Formats: sequence, structure tokens, C-alpha cells
Amino acid sequence: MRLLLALLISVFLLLFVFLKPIFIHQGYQVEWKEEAALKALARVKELGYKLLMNVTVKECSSSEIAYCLMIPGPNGFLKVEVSEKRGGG
Amino acid sequence: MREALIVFFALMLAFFLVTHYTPQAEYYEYKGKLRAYRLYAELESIEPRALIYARYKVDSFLYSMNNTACNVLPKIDGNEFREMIASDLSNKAFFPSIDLSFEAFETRGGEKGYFGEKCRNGGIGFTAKGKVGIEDGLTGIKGERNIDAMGCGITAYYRMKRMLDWLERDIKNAVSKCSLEGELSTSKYNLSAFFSCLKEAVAEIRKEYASDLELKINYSYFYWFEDEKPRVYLHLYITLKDPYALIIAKGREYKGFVCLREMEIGS
Repeated sequence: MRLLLALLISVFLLLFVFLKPIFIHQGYQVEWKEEAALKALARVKELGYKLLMNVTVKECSSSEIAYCLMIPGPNGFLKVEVSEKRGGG
Repeated sequence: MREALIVFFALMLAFFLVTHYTPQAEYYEYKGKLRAYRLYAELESIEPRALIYARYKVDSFLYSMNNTACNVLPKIDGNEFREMIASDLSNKAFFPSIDLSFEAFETRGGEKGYFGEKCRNGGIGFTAKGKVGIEDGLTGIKGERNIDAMGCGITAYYRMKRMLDWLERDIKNAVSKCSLEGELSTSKYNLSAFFSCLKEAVAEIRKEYASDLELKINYSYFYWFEDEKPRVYLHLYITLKDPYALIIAKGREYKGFVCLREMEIGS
């Protein structure tokens, strides 16, 4: 019983150390943000002049899990979001 | 004793992980990678964005020239592009150096633009040429691109402008020829001969300029006599329409483009 308790305490201690970085680990968000930046590039090339037809937004923040590419001319942003389920865009 | 040892080892392992495994350092590594991705996306998209901007400028020009005399040539000012891109990049903590020049020219037909668009004979083509560099203010990563790209719109503006200039010249010549043939300036005036000559000349011009553009020439007139000699005042309206034209302005597509010229000739 004492052995089991000792093992549980040990596992808990290690889990606590491992889980904390997972919670604060921003690598996941960063990956999504990278994907958003690359998607934005791909969409500019794919949409081309269609971007002149009300596709852009006036306000956009790249600090979200999204990327905003400025499109001069209509002076709006092409906003590309990547949802956490990787289904967005 | 054994249990205490297990907990002690677990504590030691946890201590090692906490002190040596630093997620913060890894975060910065990730962040650096993200900056590199973003710099790549910004840099790589400068070329298509420059062409989208050029097309925007050309189409805004065409939108303002629709139903006018079409006697101005398009120009693309790159200042707004530079300012907007530089301001956005600065907000993202990138330092840009943009040396791009834009030019509009007449397409011959058959060229292919950056986005795969086919250029038309007498249409407006545009180029973006120069060098763009971006430096990341956080990581110091730098990137450069040489830009040399071409795009075009489908509206045959240059051809329409040239055609209208030639039409004006040819109509003036026809009127002056008919004036002489009909001896309008002599006392042996013959107004009906003059108008019949003018009608034939206009029909000939219409035939000569037949193309994929729609041409209409209308005229009105009045005449009077001075010292028994007839004087004629002609008001000509030339309408040239490009039915295949496509302009993107104010967030939507407009089909068709019309140039109008008016001429006043007194003989």
C-alpha cells in the first residue's frame, strides 16, 4: 500500500512537471499561426485580382490565430484564420 | 525506505526537468520559426500583391474614363503601394526596403500575365519591377526578392484611344474632301451632293474600322448662307464600345467600356 502511494506521488509529481509545460506550451499555437501565414500567401496567389472584389477586411489582427496580409489598392487585409480543429481558413 | 527512495528519485527527476527543460526557451525557438514563416509569406507575396495593386490602379483609371473621350493614358503611381506595405510591415515589427517601379504599357495580345490571364490586343498591361527586402526586427532574419512581373486587364483601351484619334483625323479629311467635291465653297453650291458624299464617307469609315469593337458615328448639322454661299456646321458623335471589357472597381465587376468623342466642324 505504501509502495503504491509512493508510486502515485511520484507519478503526480512528474505529471505536474510535464503537464505544466503542455498547458503553457505555445508551440501548438505557433504551428497554427505558421499555417495561417502560409495559407495567406497561397490565397493571394490563388485569388489574384479577385481580391479586389470585397474579399478584404478593414480591421485585422495577426496576434490572433490568424494572419493578415495587407492588400494595397483596396487597402484592406486578407485575413486567413486556422481553426484549432485545422478545418478553418 | 524503498518508498522514500522512489519519491526522492521522482523529485530529482522533476527538479532536473524543471531546471533543464525550459519551455520558455523552446517558445522563443518556435517564435523565431514563426517570424521566419511570416517573413517568407510577406516577402513571397509582394510580387502578386504589387500586380493586384497595379490592376486596381488601372481599373480605377478605366472606371473614371468610362463614357468619356478616352484621350488620357494610364499611369501607375507606386507611392501608395510602398506606404501601405511599409506601414503594415512596421506594425508587424519588420523593417522593409521597397524599391519598386510600376509601368503601364500596351499589350499586343497573346501575352500571359502572372495570374494566368490572357492579354488582349491593345489592352493595358502593367509591370512591377525592382527589389524588395524585409528584415525582422525581433530575430534579425533578412530576406530579399528581385521583382519582375507582368499582368494585364482585358479592356482594349489603348486600341480604342488610337482608333478614336484616327477616326477624328479620317472624318475631318472626309468632310474637307466632300466640301471640295460638292464645291460647297463656290457659288455653284450643292448641299445635297455634300451630304450624300459625307454619308458615303462615313459608311466607308465604318466598314474600314470594323473590328471586335462596336463603332457608331452619328452627326447632326445646320446650314446657312453667307453671300449666297452655303455654310455648314457639323456636330459629330463617335461612340466606340468594347463589349468584352471587364473592369473591377468599387468591389464589383463592370462589363463593357465606352469611349465617346464629339467633333464640331464648320465649313
